[in-house]
Amino acid sequence: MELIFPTIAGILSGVVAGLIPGIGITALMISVGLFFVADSPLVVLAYYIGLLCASQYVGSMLAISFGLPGESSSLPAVKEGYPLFQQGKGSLAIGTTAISSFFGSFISMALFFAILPVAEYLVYIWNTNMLVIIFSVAMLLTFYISDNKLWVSLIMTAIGVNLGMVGINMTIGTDYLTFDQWWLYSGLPMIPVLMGCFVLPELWKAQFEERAETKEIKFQLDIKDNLKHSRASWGVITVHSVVGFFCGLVPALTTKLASNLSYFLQKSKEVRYNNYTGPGNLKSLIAAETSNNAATFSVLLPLLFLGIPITTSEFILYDHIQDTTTGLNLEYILNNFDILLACFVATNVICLALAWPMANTCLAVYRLPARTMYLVTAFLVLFPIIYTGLLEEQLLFYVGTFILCSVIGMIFRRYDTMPIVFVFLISREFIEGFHRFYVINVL
Amino acid sequence: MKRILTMAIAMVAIATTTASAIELVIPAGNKGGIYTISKHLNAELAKIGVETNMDVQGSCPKGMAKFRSTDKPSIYIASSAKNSSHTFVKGCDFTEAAFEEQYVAPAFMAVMALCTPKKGVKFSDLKGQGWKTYTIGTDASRAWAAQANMEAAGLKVKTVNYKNSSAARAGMMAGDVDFFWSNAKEAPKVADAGGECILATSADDFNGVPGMKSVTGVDPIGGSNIYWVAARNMDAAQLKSIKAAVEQVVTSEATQEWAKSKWFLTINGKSAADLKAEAKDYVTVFTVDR
Repeated sequence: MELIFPTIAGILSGVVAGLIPGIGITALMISVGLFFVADSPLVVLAYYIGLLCASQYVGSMLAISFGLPGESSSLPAVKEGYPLFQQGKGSLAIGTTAISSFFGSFISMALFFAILPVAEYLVYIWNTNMLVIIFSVAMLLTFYISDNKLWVSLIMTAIGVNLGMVGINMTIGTDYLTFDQWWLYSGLPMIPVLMGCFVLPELWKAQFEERAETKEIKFQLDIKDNLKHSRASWGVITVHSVVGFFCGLVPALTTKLASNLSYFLQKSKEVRYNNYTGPGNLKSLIAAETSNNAATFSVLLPLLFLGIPITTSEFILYDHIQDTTTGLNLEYILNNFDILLACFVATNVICLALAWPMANTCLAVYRLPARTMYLVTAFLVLFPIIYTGLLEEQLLFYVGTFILCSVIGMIFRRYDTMPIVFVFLISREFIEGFHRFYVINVL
Repeated sequence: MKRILTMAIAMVAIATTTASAIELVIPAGNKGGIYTISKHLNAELAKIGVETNMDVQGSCPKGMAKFRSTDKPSIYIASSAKNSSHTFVKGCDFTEAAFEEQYVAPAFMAVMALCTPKKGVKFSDLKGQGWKTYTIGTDASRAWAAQANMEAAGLKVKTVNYKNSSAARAGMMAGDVDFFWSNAKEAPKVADAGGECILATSADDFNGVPGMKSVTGVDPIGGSNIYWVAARNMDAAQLKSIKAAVEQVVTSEATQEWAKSKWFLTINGKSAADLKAEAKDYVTVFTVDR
């Protein structure tokens, strides 16, 4: 019962994250997520599950209806769904996407139980050699899947590493760019860096560069037709649930890799069989969205079972969980796994209702006055910086870091700045991993 | 909303009690040994009429900066292990002069342990393979102790640093290193994962883990991580009073029970001068360049 409120709050936050580009789950996890740090990690986990699932369901609606990717994983939905909407098939695209996403989540869950007998071997992901390989592959994939040219991504990587390595690193014994100032010993605070380097440029892009023409959105519910098309794509849903499940385990890339890889694979197949006649291919859209939602389940597994956060928002979730009195441990997760599964199932049922029969209601949010939307957005960006700065008694440091990172973010506003924040977040782990690799294998 | 209201009420409560209470500066986040001890002291001191305000600073450098800058009467739980390396200690160290000036009383001790990923490993078998260099996974603050103790016991070792004890334990279970060196309280978790702690740096067996001398024949070097209380901005009478209060709490029966459950050693039966000297060793002797 205690999880009903955080789950619903998570779903509502996810609706906001899905409907307002730039206010992604990372920003909401930083701000609203703070209020769900309680004695039990289940509370903040329930909030996160609601947030994660709802943002994926609702983000698809936004991408299909407005041609606006709420999340980077919604790019295929923009490429194939928005043309369907323009062809007058928006209701079909939204309906079948919601249904396939729903089944994708459940197939992913079933797949987890299928591999449970060998799950103990997942501990070998902790092996330093394995971690070095995973992080290296993730870095390379980030370069290739990001929308940037390679040289831009390399510059961003250098910036991310330098921001991430500020402070004293006790594990490898370095003291980097602290200028003997104690407030820099613990490194740059995460929230101002993420807000400045990532959220701000994304908002800028959404408001000034990629804003689609606003139009009246009307969704016609046709259950029979939507189910018929979903049934016809059963094979696509099954295959891409599997693809999504495994992509969800890839650190940092997760849903972004899942939707884009599935889209690429399905589109190649459609082209090969002469079924692809141009943008607006329903099966390619279904593949991407199914995969995306399948990944939302598997993405949680490394964190829950191995204590390894693999996305930006999970780093924050991990931080929040560590702030609870119980902390994150395997025994606790195993004892409460049935509750978490129930939470995941309930969330998906509610999200299906929101993204399908209630799609019209969700999209009505866009009838809010633009001025109110700006105020809400500004509040969601500034509040976590000021709140955490005050909490840490380092407001000036937090604001200063935000200003510095905002400058960096705005310089790169025309690019995908995800590599900066991704590298910032993993640079310590990455360099510590390489250092351990060197000590173990070379020294 | 409930959380916001709770926070608001707590802030009002703190504001109204600040005038008379002593600041209990916590140089750590809200987990780990220092936080656990601080929370216990806060509760137990309150029972004997000494009010303290817990001020969780999140990290050692931040905690020390707060402790050094505040003008309010303050106490601080110091961990001697924090002084174990020059890099680790930066920003949260005690110089010899500061130690002498601010040391109030010892609180608890924690011992370290050497653990293996499998059960049934005998130390004598390890010593028999003199050609081999063993790898020991540990968190950075205990690396010097792992190396010093195992070399004294006759093993060739190299230490591999991890972010914290949990990461080091996972690294051992994943096959990174031969051993894991940490707080002895990790022993049950190691056992759950199929491993075993084969020695503890205590004089005798500790909660079922054999003492180092009985296993290796060598006394542990700096084996006890001493948690001690430091104080600032107090006059002689206040210092005397807080020292007595801390001693009363840490030697009480309730605390003995509590310490046992948390794998801490208590100071009962040990000389205060010896404990102070041992804590001071970490400031003057055991601090090493890494």
